[in-house]
Amino acid sequence: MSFLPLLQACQIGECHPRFFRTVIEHKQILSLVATDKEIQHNNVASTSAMELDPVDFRYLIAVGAQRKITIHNTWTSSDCSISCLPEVASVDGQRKHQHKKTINYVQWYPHDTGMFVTSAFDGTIKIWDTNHMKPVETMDIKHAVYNHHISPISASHSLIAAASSVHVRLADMRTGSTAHLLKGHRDNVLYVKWSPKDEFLLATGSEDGRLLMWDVRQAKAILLSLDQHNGDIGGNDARGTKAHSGSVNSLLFNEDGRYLLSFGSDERMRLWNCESGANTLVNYGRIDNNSIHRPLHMAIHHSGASASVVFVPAGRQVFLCDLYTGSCLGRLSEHFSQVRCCEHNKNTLDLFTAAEKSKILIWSPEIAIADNSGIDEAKFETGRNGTSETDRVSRLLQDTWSDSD
Amino acid sequence: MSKRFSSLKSAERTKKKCEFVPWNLEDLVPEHIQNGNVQDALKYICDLSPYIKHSGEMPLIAMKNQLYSVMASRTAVDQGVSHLRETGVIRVFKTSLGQDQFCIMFTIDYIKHITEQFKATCKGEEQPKCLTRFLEEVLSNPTDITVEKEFLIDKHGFKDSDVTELIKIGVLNVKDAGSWWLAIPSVGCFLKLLRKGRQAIIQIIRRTKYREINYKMLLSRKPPTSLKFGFQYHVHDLIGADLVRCINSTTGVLLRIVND
Repeated sequence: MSFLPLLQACQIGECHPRFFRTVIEHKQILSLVATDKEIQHNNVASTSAMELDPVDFRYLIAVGAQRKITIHNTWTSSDCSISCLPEVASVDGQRKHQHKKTINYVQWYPHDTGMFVTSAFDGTIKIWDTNHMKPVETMDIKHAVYNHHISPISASHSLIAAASSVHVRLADMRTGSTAHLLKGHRDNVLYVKWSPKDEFLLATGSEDGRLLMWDVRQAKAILLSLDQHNGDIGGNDARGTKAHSGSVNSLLFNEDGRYLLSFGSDERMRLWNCESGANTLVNYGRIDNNSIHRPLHMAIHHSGASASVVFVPAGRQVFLCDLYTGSCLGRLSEHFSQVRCCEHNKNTLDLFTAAEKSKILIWSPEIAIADNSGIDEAKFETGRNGTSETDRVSRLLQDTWSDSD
Repeated sequence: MSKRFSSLKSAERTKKKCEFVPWNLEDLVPEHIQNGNVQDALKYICDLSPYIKHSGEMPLIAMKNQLYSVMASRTAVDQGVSHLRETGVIRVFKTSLGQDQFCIMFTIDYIKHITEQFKATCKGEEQPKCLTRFLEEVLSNPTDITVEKEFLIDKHGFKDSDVTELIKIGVLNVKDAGSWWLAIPSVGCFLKLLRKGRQAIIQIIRRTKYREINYKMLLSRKPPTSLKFGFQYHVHDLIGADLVRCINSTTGVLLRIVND
């Protein structure tokens, strides 16, 4: 009911519709709860990465330690009786196409769902045709690939940046060449990310704690080496500046590409200004992180300067942090093992999280669930066999705490 | 913004509820300190401990972690400390306690402490020229946590023997070839007491039945002898260093050890 005054303000023009949207979305995100929705045929072994397709946020692709690739349809009707997301396609059993070892990362082609790219510990990057579920191109790098990324905005190149051991490799999708190396890190590179603003700007994080920004057109490609102390401690340190005292596990750009968020195994997150390379000194507090040798995947809800929320895998929990102020907005704890990746649907505000030893969990705003159940009740009152479903929903929402315990 | 936007306000309230430390419940830390500027918070922390304030020998030190605990937003602390350091109001020093644990002193207190310390240790001796020059030239410009060779020797003309003298007095510590940490003379005494106090409080919490203690109850206890700076000073230090967690409960603020 508290939205009504705001709605009125919106109608008389006192409040911008975008602001109205921001307020409601922010409130919904803070009320995320785990739903009983499940993912069909979900392999219990660890899911290492997943992504929603960037076109209409419909298909969720997930890869994991079992070398299986599955695609799920997340558009289920509001009907409560379907409580699992159907599997639309999968790569399983076709031994000759499969990766030989754990798949580390998967990404949809940024412009349509006809293609996706996977990379694995067996040192190959595969480009798949979604309709046939067969690889159309296999690039052999011969080093374990921890992570890769395709630029979401590139118009003039189609490079896949891949983190392979100590180097970053640029694989060209058009020619199939993987010859271009970016040298500069001293330990395994864990994360690579293209800027959403500049198609030639690449950020990479590594186990040596360094976070480098590259311009891939230049011969001397390192633009910046980010420094956590902003140059206060040791200007002449021969080992170079460090962004984190541990390894850099995760990177995330904000929507306009001006800020970069990094998460390291020193249990800190840092927000960097991409133009100057300065640490903006936003302090998120201590966030659990004991994965030194593998990347984690954060997700972000973009909503301007006041209400952008980051979802951070922190041990067995997922932290919700405000991107620009650093305050902790909440924790989602439902997993029993280490959370490895988060994926956010910006339209429905759903959150997908995957942990090491459990299924993918789907989180929805509590308000939306309550609304849905209201509609269903009305519908089921006319139907005959709907009562059990209504009961089930109401039982879920019921407060089971009692005085007598 | 008009009063109507109640839902945004409620969102802000949720934000506040999830802040690190719920001090405002029982006026444990005054409101104007929590949301005020860093300088006031620093003074507040220095005043918390009567031992540091009145002993005379102890430098007036606050830890950066304590600011995290006292103030509502950690980002405000980091940015405020960085700004004050750049303007030269305060000095930040590295400690041996851990990677993110820094000492903070007001520059005025620092200079006063150095001269007093020198007088106390070397009775009757005249203050060497290099120390006077160090106080006047080096400390007048806002330097970083370290001093570089280019700055000290090339720009200000200190000789190698002067640097040795300064290290002997205790205002510089060797970091690397050609760079030094700024240091507080006889800070070891402070750090020792701080570490002992931390251990004492953690010991107290460990010995309770459920390994947690009400903050008010802790304050009403008789402090053990190893706890020199007072409960409040140490508890703020522990919370800021993420060694103790604060939990909001119906009976007040509970302290619990992290990862225990």
